[in-house]
Amino acid sequence: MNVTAQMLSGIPGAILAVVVFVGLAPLAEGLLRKLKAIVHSRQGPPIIQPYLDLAKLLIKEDLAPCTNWIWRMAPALCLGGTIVLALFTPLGVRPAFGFSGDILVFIYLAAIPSIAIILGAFASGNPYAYVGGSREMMVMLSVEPVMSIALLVAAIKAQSLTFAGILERSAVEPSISMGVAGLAFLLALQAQVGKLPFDMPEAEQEIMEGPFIERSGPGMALFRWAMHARLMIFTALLVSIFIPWPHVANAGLSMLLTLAKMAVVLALVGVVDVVNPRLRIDQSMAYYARIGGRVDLRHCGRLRKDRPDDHQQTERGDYLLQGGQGHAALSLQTARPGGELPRPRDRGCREVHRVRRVCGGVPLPLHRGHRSVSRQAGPRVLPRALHLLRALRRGLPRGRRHRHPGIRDRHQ
Amino acid sequence: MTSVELIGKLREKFGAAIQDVCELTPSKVRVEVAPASVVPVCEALYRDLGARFLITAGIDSRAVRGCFDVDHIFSLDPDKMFVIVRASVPPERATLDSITPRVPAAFWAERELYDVLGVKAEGHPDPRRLIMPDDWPEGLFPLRKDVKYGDWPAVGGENADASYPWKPAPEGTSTVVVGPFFPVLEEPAQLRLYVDGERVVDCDYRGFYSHRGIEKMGDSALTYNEIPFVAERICGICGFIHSSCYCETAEEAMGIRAPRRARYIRSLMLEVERIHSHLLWLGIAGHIIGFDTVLMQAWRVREPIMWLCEKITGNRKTYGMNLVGGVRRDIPKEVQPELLEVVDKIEKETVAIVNAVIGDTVLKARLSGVGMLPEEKAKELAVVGPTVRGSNLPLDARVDHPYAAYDEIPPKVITHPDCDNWARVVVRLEETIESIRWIREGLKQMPDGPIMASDIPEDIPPEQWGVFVVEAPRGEAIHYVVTGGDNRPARWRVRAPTYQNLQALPYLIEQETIADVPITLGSMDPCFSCTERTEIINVRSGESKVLDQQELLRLSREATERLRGR
Repeated sequence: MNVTAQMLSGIPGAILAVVVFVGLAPLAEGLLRKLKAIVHSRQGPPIIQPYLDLAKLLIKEDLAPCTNWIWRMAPALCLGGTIVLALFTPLGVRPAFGFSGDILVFIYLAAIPSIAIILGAFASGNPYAYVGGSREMMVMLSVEPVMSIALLVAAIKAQSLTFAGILERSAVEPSISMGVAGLAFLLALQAQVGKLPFDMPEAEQEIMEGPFIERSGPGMALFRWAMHARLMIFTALLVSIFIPWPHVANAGLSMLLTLAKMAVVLALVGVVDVVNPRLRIDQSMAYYARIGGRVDLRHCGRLRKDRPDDHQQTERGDYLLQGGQGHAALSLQTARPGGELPRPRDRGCREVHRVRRVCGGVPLPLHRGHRSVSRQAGPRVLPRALHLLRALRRGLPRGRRHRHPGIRDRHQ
Repeated sequence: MTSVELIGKLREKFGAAIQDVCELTPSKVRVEVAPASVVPVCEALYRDLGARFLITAGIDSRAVRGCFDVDHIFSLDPDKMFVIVRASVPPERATLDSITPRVPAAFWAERELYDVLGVKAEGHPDPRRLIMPDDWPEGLFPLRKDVKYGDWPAVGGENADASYPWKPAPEGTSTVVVGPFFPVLEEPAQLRLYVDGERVVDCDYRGFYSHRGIEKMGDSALTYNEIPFVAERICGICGFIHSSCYCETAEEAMGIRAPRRARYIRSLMLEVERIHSHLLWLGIAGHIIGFDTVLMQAWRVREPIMWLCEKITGNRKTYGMNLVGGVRRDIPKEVQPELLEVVDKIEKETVAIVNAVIGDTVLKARLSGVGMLPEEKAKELAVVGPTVRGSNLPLDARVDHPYAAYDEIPPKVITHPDCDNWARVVVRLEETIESIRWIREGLKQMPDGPIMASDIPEDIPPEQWGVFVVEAPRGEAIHYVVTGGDNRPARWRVRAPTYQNLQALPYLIEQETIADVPITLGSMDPCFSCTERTEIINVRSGESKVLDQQELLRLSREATERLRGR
């Protein structure tokens, strides 16, 4: 059985990865737009519109508000980081570059595009960009732990820190813990790729695309492209690791199958995107803190012994890492509860301060009615999406389970 | 309480300070008081008698009686009565004690009073400019009769580089500027948010960037029967409300009443307008929180309603139906079944979309507990429309001061106890369904008869007056007309509902996050103004080109053709 077949080795493999993950990403976005248009009862733009948009932006002039080098570097860093990430992404088969510990490299690399966005936002000096940048940071800090834990569950189950090893084992050994981790990854995907209801870093209607408000022309194009590619990369990762069935020996066939499964997952992401309003950042953070808490590592039997007090999700993350390969904590460390907090110097810092408290499981003293509200908002996102989709379909009025009593009375 | 009892109470309390009483009808009373007693009289009305402040109208009566008249208009809702407190101010010392410290709802009204008429409100807590541009010369007050219409100062005069005196940012906050151009603020206004992190600490507002001076036009360039057409252009969405309100007011001032059938047609169009305005708003509100599916679907459902408008009036919007004394077009008997059929279809689709939105838990999570406006605060700020009904107060001009045909078919007043953004959403949605019910009733019960009054007087004597409120989709629109010579009013005062609602904004968004500011603003469906042209400036060459209506029409038709051809 040749599940661990590599895409292609070396340079040709790298080219293939870039073509699939970066080159085809605008096409995926175009299909998502078409899906959105269908739900909207619209005709929608042509499927290749994202390519046309990128081409247009690339030939336009770049109006820069500052000459700061961080500002100028950020788009290239963002897309560049994404391309490198693509080289480490499995597509049903081993990634182009794979070596012992590549899963950890992936987790580190996955943060680079977000960091580029945040740095670029702060360098622009625009207040909306500040807000967007700090929101991006909060999303990153709340979503990455969930994704990392999910990946590490896979690593522990496979007893391997390489994608190759995980691919080999996960396909033959379905397990509950992998199912839970996969679900958590799926829920985190929505925010990781910046789709509704978790697109608050950009939030056109609130903060005018936040980090990108000052961007134009090629800079904007690179960021956009990186965002499209991010969608492909994380979907491919989800499908390869957590939905590996049916596994086929032929590498080419396996890739095609993975692409087909990705289309299904992308459609799901698209549907959730189109039938949900945007949540507030505090609601989304509370949501992911809960998901993180639910990826219960007790399913990974070999970690049960000698566990320290574990009712805080980040502790689990750290412990897991130590138990797994004796590796130091990754970005989870940033979100670790307790310890000395830096003095808040500016907005960004203050938000980090808040993030820590969320991730540490300490209730967030935020809003009137905030806690009960976010509890409602949370896990029902998916079922609600389906209900609403049904209710809003063109034929209308079907699926009135949640009908308002007053209106039903009057309607009769 | 009747008007006689009210006057008795005021006379008993203030004695000689009540100089004169003019009772237009048993429900409309004007009380002339000594300028020094304006504040206690207004306070007694507001605090003791529970009157609600509507608006202040300043009138230049120097040519007639040698003074400026300042009319504070109040409404006693339970008694279905309007009370106007008039004070006459000598032109040589044009000041009057401010009632804002006692009646907070007069905050903007008194700022505007100085801006347009030059009567200073002594002791006003915030006497900054409200309406006129920053570079407008000091001492030029456009609503004074010696200022001719169109006789405006040249741009770039003495105050050319004046800028608005914004409130300084509080300690430890940074400023986020929203507007004058912002994705979800379709109209020009600027909001400065003083924020700490994502939390709004305070805010400041500057609007009226495209103030068009329609009131001045009304009392110096138009005639009684031309005004309805201009009034309809006050708003691009609820224009019919303004023309209806003006017509009812002018009819009252002239002592006539439109025939019953005309009043039914007016009510019918007012309800149609409410439905399409609420659905338009629903779409925009959805868009504000990133829910574009609601936007697209709500606007798709809205389309048959626009068809209905066109069928009845000949236009999708800005119908040109109203005249003083009646309406211009009748609804033919033979289209009635067709209209009812469309109404059924609209109801089916609207109910579906309303149920989908009301049953949406994520939407509810996003909107609940945000933009709180408790009952007492809503009362104090005298907000109107769904904004006040969302705070559980059953205020609705259609029931409180019935006009058109609402005395014969009263609508159900819809309130919601939650006092937050969600409450305002639910109120609007349920009102939409209620309006559909009204339309069906109205179409069925519409009496036969003429559509234009036959007893319109040839000469309208000066110094007559009328005041009316009409429940627009956003709240009450108030029109106040004082007749003059030359076949035109001496003063035509208009207050659109957003004028009052916007004053509650600082309270609503205080301590909310930036994310909630647009939807909180959107929850009261603000309507600032509408502009009618676009100017394109080439920044390289400096050339500018104004796109007029014809050009815009041509461009949009070309775009439609392109889409069709694809």
